[in-house]
Amino acid sequence: MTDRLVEVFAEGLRVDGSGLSEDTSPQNTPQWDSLAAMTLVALIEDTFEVRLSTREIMKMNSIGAARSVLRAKGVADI
Amino acid sequence: MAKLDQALAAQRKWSAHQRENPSSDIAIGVAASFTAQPLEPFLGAPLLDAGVRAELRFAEYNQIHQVCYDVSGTLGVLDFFVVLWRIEDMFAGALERAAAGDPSAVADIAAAAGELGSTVARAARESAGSFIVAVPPFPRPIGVDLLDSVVSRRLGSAHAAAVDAFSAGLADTPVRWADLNAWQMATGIAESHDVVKAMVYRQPYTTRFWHEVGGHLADLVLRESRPAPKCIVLDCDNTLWGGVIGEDGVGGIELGSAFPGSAYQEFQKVLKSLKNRGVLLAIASKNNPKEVDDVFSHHDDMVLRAEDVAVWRVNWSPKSQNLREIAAELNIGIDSLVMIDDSHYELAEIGNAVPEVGLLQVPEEVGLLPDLIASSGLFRNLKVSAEDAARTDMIRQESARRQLADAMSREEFLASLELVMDYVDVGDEHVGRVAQLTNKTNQFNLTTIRRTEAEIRALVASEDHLVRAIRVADKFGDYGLVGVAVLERSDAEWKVDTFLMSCRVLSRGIETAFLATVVAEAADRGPKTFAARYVPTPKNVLVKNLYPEHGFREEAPGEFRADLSEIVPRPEYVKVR
Repeated sequence: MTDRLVEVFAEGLRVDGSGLSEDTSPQNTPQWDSLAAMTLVALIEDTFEVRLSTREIMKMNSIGAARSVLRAKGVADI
Repeated sequence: MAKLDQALAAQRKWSAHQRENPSSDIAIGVAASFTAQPLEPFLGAPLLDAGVRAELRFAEYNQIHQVCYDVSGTLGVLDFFVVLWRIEDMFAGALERAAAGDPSAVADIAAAAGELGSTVARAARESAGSFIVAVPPFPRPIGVDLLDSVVSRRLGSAHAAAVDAFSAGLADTPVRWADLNAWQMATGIAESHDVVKAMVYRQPYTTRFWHEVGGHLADLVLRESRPAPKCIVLDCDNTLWGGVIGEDGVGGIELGSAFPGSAYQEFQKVLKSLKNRGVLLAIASKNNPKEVDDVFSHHDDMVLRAEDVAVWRVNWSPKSQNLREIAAELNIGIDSLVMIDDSHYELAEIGNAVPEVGLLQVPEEVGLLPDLIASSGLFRNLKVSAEDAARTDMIRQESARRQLADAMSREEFLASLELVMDYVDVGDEHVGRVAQLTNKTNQFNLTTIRRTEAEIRALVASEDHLVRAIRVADKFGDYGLVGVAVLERSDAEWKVDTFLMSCRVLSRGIETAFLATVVAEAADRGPKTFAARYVPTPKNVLVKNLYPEHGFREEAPGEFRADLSEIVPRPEYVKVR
């Protein structure tokens, strides 16, 4: 099964999904700049049909952290 | 697909393109008073759909003045430069004062907007690329209650002043307008805005609105390379009026102040106003010219008159051929024609033979007809010149008509329709429909003999007569029972008493298939010759030459005969059962 969250990050960062992991973060990914962060938030909201609060957005400093935030919001199938 | 799914699909498409194939055909620069990068996939993807690979370059937000002083220095050489701005970003302080009721604030906004307009105009004159410039949207300052009528009226005055002054500053500089105000109205302010994102990223809009903006901007970009429509070609029956003039007569068509006639009248008003703005109107209709002329000359409720029409093609030729002739006569490209017709069949024939022609189908719901052209967007942002507006008259006075060779492969088109004709021995279950056809059919009716159901029943029972009918279907649907033949038989010869077809299936070769099948049946069953008559009426001139065209000899006026050794060839594209 494909990982929808990794797909979203691959799309938002415009990179190949195979190079992404739970540890992918702005520190180890040059493509993850402030504009990409804005794009990622919109993509995550539209794909998983949730609304992220600014505090939740601030917690999303890696793919793994984003997954935890979405799980905590009760999003299934991420 | 839901709007949001479309937006996500556009994003995926653009992202895949960027990963795999980042080369580009055109460069588009964007300077905005807010963070505009979310626009990229929503402008890039529809351009890709049209085969244009764009590279988008964004200036830093809220740097419009600075970028305008040196566009190519900041963004490089561009094919298009898009300027998007909002009053609440550019003139925030003055707008706050305006909302609070400061009487000098509106004038300050106007002065600043006028100056911005001049700045953009100067940049446009000095740059090679095309400029696409925003009409600023109605302001939605954060923290302001737009439903407070005092505030909303003050914002309205400030907005109107800004739009006017900005346009005046641009004067007659040739730019295209990105009408953020109209687009925001169409989507709705609440659906367009995301207050949190405006706070966090200085990015005020929802995904849904970015998707909308991207689509409109893509249209503006593509319009540059696409010819503007110049001429609307109109069908008549069930397009300019309701009903069929050949069947219902001038008095029987739907046209007037009461619905549904009012829908056709409103539609004609739209056409007239486009004509007054320089769009040419032409008629391409399968009718008798005299009947169409009667409506244009004598129907009191017609808005359009004969002098509004630049070119007439009222005949039974394929419409694609008529469109080619219209384009040639007007000396415009065939791709600047838009055909409006109610018939699926006609539009398919045109789409097949001349795919460059724009097509609009009259909606099933007649109440939507007056909105047809507006909602198509085809004539949006029409540029008008005085010469254009006078064009119809110039062309109408040109009397010479050029004849064009018909170059299209009509056979191929007809074959693609998958026409099926069922040849039916009329029985009890068909009598009602057969009698109805003998009474209603005027145009394709060789003898126009009206009959009651009892008379048809008698003919079916008679030893000396044969009653045949056809049902026709194609890949678009079933036309039902549409043709009737009544034959008088003796050992030596068969005579055609009645031969008729509903005008629903004309010009598809069905008439030939029908006649060929009747003749073939006769040939199988013994007689040597086959006789037929044409009895002229005011309405059946269409079929005057039907028999000579199919190899019959005219032995006396209106009297025809054929030897059954020479069978009429049946068109290959009609399957007969």
